[in-house]
Amino acid sequence: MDVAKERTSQTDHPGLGHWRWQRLTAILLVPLILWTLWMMRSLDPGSYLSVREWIQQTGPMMALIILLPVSYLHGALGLQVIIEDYLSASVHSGLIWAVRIAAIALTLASLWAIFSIALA
Amino acid sequence: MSNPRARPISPHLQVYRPQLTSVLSIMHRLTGIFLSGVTMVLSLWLVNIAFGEVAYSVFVAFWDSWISTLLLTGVVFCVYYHLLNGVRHLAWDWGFGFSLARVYATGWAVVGGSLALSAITLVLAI
Repeated sequence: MDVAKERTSQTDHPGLGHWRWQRLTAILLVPLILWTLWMMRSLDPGSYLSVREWIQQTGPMMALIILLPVSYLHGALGLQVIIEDYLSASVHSGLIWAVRIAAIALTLASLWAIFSIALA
Repeated sequence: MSNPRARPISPHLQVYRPQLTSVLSIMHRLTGIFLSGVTMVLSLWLVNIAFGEVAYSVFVAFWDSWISTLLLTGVVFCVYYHLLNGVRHLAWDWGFGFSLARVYATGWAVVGGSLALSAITLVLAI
């Protein structure tokens, strides 16, 4: 097979989607994390009312709604690579699916919490 | 190898003499695992707030302890380390900074940068 054909056939590699999502979420997380940290200057976790008011503001609420799903996707993709690299092949699919299900459940729980705080 | 299209797997940790490049790479993975746990704590915190002020008093008791300050210091460092080293990885993905000299220079920059940003953040926060 010549090089050009070999290259074309590589573009449908099943790992490519994983690689792209890992990078896309990474690029999103850089400004998201810095923005969230910057807004946290006005957050006082020791006071319930202050914490509620902080989350109800437009900026922090928007940041959290985007930050948590993107973080869980990035985290699940990263943990998958670590599982594949260092654990026995017999546990790969079970553990990877456990990580995915946990990531989805935690994303849903976080979004439910943010919306219920916002609407309260 | 049974699957010719399988991606290359990371080398085993024990066969390498520790050097800046390998230590930073392992730290990227360890901080990544740790930050997955931190994200879970962030979710628990949000759910805790949603459950109301009585439930939140459990968190406040933890927040007032010295353990939370110690933990927060670690979290802040891991966030900056993984973020800066992640940008280093993204640069590599686009083909930049691959010479050995560059790899070492950006590696030390990540170490210095994450320590400096952590210090600034903690001074502003406390």
